[in-house]
Amino acid sequence: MKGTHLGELEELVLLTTAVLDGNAYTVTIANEIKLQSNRAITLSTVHTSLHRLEQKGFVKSEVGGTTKARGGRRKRLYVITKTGYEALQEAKELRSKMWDLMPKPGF
Amino acid sequence: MNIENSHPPKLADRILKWYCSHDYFEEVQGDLHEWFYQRVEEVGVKKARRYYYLDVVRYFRSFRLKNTYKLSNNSKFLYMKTLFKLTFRNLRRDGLSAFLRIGNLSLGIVVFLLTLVYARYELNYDTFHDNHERIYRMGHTLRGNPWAAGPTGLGAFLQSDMPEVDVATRVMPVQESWLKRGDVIFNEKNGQFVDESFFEVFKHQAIDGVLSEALKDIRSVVFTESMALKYFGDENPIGQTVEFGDERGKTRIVTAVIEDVPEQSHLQFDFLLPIMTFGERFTTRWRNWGTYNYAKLHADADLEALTKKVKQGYMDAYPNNDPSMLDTFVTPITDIHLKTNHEKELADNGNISYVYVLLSVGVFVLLISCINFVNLSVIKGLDRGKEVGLRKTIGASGRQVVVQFLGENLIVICLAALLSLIALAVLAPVFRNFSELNLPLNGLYNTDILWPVVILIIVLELICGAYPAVVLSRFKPANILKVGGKGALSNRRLGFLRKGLIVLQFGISLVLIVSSFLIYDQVSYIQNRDMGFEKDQVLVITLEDELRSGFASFRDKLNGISGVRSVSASSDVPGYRISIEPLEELDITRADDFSAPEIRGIMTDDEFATAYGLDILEGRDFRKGLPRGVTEYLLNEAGVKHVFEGRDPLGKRVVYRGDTGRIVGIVKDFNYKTIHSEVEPLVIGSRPRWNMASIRFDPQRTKEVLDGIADLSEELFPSLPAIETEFLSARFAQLYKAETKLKSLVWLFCLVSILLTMSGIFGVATYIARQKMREIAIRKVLGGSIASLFQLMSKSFVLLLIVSVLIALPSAYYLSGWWLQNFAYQVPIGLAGFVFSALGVFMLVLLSSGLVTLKAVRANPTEALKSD
Repeated sequence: MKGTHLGELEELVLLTTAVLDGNAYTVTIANEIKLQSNRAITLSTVHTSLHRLEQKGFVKSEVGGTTKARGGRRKRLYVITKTGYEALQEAKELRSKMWDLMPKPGF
Repeated sequence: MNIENSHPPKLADRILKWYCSHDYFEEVQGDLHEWFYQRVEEVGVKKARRYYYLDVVRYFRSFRLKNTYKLSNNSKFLYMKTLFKLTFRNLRRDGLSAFLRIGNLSLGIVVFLLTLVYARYELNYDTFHDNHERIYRMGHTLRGNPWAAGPTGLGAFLQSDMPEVDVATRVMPVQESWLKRGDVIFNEKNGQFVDESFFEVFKHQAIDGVLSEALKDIRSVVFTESMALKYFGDENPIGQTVEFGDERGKTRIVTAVIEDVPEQSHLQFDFLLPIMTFGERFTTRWRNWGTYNYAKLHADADLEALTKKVKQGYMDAYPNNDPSMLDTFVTPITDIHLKTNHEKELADNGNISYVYVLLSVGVFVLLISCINFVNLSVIKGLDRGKEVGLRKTIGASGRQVVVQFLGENLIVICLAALLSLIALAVLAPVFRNFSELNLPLNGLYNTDILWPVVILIIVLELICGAYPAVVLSRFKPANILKVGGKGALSNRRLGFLRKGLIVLQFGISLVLIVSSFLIYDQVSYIQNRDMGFEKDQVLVITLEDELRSGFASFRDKLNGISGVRSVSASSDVPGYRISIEPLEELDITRADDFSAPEIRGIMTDDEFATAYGLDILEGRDFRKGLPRGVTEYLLNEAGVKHVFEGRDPLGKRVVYRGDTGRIVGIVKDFNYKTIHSEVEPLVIGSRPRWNMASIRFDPQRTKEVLDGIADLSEELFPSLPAIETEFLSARFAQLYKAETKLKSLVWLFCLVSILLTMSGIFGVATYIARQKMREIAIRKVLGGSIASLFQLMSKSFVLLLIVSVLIALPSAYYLSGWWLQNFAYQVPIGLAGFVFSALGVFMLVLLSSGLVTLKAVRANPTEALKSD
């Protein structure tokens, strides 16, 4: 497997996957990101991130049920894995550590 | 809008289905559809459909493609992957040999491609015209001397009387003069008077204006793009006027602007004027032999019949002359640049023998590098017997081994080719700068480069890949493994091939080295040879109307500048083509007009001999202050021989260019052309024509002289462009430029070939030393001295070298003799050069093989023997 570095976008997608808990697939993730961060994001970007995350072992996926909106097509649901959760944790810890080290800015 | 009835565009769906791999298709399409319906609610169906297309395109990533999916599971692809991996591992394992092989080959290809591109560039002059194979220039020979220019009337005759001619056009150079538009004024020396039909014969791209109409009006002028920019900047030049110095400031109207004339054209110009400016009568008379007559013939034209009829035309125009004196011929325009050097040639043409010299050097260097590559590759391949044995034992088929070897070689060759293409593109500015030609060196845009490379790859692949591959694949694995992968191959036959190649390689480098010595010698010889006059202390000024009319006062002012020793005005000067005319001797009867001997002539004043430092052998120089109407003549030695054939010329009355006078002196031959040709007959007449001024100056005070002339120019003609001066030595350097460049190029390529040969020998020697490691060790243990071992190891190379010397030196001698034929004055082919280069190669080979051998010989024998 390639490196297990977590990019900014990947972190966001992974977080959203965790937040959506069981109902995470490309469309819902994209909607959630738009809702939370007001950031326009395309489906393919999300899908590519999910693909990378899956390669890195941070999420796993399985084919889920159908909805009418999809014209009967099945969707692929993504769930965060233990390593994914740990990677998020690590990223968060790194940040808070850096925050603690930062002196109070003078502006 | 009813959501139920709206659906995503079918076409986009089809595109998705076309590229998307099966694994992802259902999921992706489902997502996209859901997203689409969401969008419909937000922005409406129309926009949503548009976005849908965008989304489909955005999904285009490699991991979702059908092909990637198929490929990554394809056994052939997987095999290719291992092949690449193995190749690079093998290359890395023996980095030195890999470096030698790839570096050698790339270097050879770069040199070869360079010479190839250059040769193609030179050989493709004037091929950009449509139907260029049907365009000819009419020429004639007078007493066997070929002329490029002919009478003005010939063009009209061709057009009206010759059914073979489709379109004819004349070209007549415009006198150097100034052009002026408002405050902008420049000297222009590159204009041509041409017929209205000019653009029907020669293809030039119009930028503005209609070419077929452009030269109809006799007050019109056609500009090239850079001329238009020079005089009009961003303005539209069409319909604007310029004043023309040669016509005393009369105006001409710009009717068209064309693209700049391509470099690959012998017919260069900056602007065109209609030849009809001179009127019907002038342009139909068979006079003024300074016009170039071009014709585009019909496809089925009979050239021989045409030349005969044209000759008849000359005879009709000059009925009193002996027909045997004159002959006519046609020159295809594509031959003009490299193959002709006639009287009144429009440009300083190239020389085809130089093109061939360079091209053959390129081929030689490529051969040397290919030989290196073959030798090293074959050796490298056979060295891997053990690996092949093992592979076969494990179950590889013969075919698989062949493919493996072929594949590895192909990768290496392609790598080298790629490197050379990159090097060529990267170094292109350097080469262009040096050659002063806009050479197309980028392989991406130039198929002339790509094709030879592809062919080379295939040939090399067949030679260096196939041989070891087939040989090795045939061997019984047990055999190879048993004897340790070395002895199994009967190296004898292969050894013969290798030795043959090495002999060839030595031979070629020797030929190259000898030839470059000779070219160097010859070029230095020419450049340093005494011309017979002072070319280093003369400045030349081309005189125009204004200067011509007031030359006497201009000369006095020039003489007033400190550092100026002598000023002379003349019709021509050395270093430029001097026109040739008949010299009629009075008091002797000749048959007709054409039978008087022709001789080049300079019409000048009493200062000429002083200015150029000419030696008067017999008689005297012109008398100072000759009265008007009295003409005196000087002849050079060659001229005396040519005209008087042994009789005493002094005091004879002659007529030259219409002036009758006596011959008063004989000047020592001086070479007023270049050393390519012998000194030709020359007459110097004391009837000044103020075309050029020659200024002999004190070389210590060059700057003062130049400043003085610039001040004078400012003082006399404040509104005209500055007077342009040229050092005569610079003109001669220009004439020898081709040789000077050839000299440095041949040297460079010769160095490359030495480098290549050495590295090749180095590689082979390394291999042999490694093979004989045990033999050397055993000999050493038994008491062999280092010297004797060294001798043993070098013997084979020395023998090969002697064989190649025997083959190479005669061929080099022959080749250089052929090249030297181009020169009237040849440096003798010295034995020293041959011996020296042979010895030099000898030393280099011993050095490169010796280093390796010495290392092997001095190694501790136990190292080599301990594994047994």
